[in-house]
Amino acid sequence: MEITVKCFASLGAYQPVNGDSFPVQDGNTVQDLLNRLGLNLEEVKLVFVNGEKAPLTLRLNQGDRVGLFPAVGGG
Amino acid sequence: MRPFFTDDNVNMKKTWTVNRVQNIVNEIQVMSYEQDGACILSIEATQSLAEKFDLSPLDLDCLALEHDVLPVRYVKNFNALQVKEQINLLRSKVALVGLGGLGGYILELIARTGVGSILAADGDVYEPSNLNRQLYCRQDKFGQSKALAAKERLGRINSSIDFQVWEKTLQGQNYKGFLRDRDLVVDALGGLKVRRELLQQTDKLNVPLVTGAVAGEMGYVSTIYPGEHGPIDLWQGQSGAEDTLGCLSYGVCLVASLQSAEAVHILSGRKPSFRNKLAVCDLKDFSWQVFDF
Repeated sequence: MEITVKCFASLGAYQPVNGDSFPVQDGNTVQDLLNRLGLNLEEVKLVFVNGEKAPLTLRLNQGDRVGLFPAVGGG
Repeated sequence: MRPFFTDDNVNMKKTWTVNRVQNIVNEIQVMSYEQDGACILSIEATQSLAEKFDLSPLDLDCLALEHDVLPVRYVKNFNALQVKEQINLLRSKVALVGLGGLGGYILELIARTGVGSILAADGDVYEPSNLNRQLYCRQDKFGQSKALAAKERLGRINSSIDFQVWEKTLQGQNYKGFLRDRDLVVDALGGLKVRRELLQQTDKLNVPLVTGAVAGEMGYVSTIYPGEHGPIDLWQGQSGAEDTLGCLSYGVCLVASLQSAEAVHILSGRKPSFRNKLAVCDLKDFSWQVFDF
């Protein structure tokens, strides 16, 4: 199945080229996705799925829109 | 200057005779001029009437607005802001924490719009790397206090509001005095630990907080009421994305605009738009999304 994923700010280095249509397996969780992308769990501070805050354990579904954030505190 | 018709001064209000108020209102009306069907009061008129009647220009402007006379400095706020909202704004008290990148723009915007009482704190001085984004940073100001630079500049932009600065970095016990009697706090800090501390304090002292932050060309805004957490997850750890990406001027300006608009809405009597939400703007791809916590 495919999902949309956006890696914000400094996580942009991990943004997949096919982020608009990123293939994941049935049953994959957010954490599985982070592993697939090569992200260090420590770096990802906040995850949103379909506009809502989500835990790493959330199972992904077809068409899900995932947003990943690092710490951001600049001013 | 004596306060006028504030909730804190109900007793004092009772001692003002109806005649005195009517006198002042009459003089406001006499000194006002008509333009496009509205009665306008010039800056000089506000100043001279305030002096004459021993009021602050702020109180004088409120009195004018209550009697349908518009201080000229706010004329272009109407009618996107209603007169009643402008009065609410002039009567409101904001605490602004930080006068650097976000803080400079926020101060500029909320002061021009007419937030009546602003108390701002910053213990830093300007350095050259501030030039890329800090509105009040000038090449002839390195080593100068950001708080004092703001005080000097604001006096020439809006001398009719009450603007005070603390030339210090807030921490611990300082916060209690700083946040006392404030209706709203705006977070214009840089860094993670300091933001965690600010939230802890606003939560403890029961004041809502409009926060915002930037890294590179992206940023976010969120509004956090006591008991809520907002984007506290984004303030964990030792270093933020801004340490590797920097902070671009237009990202800072945009986030500051969002924070300012949200603050003005809340203070003027409207509902917050970003409570329990994370509004994210990314100028790298010009995207905007509002997430729910």
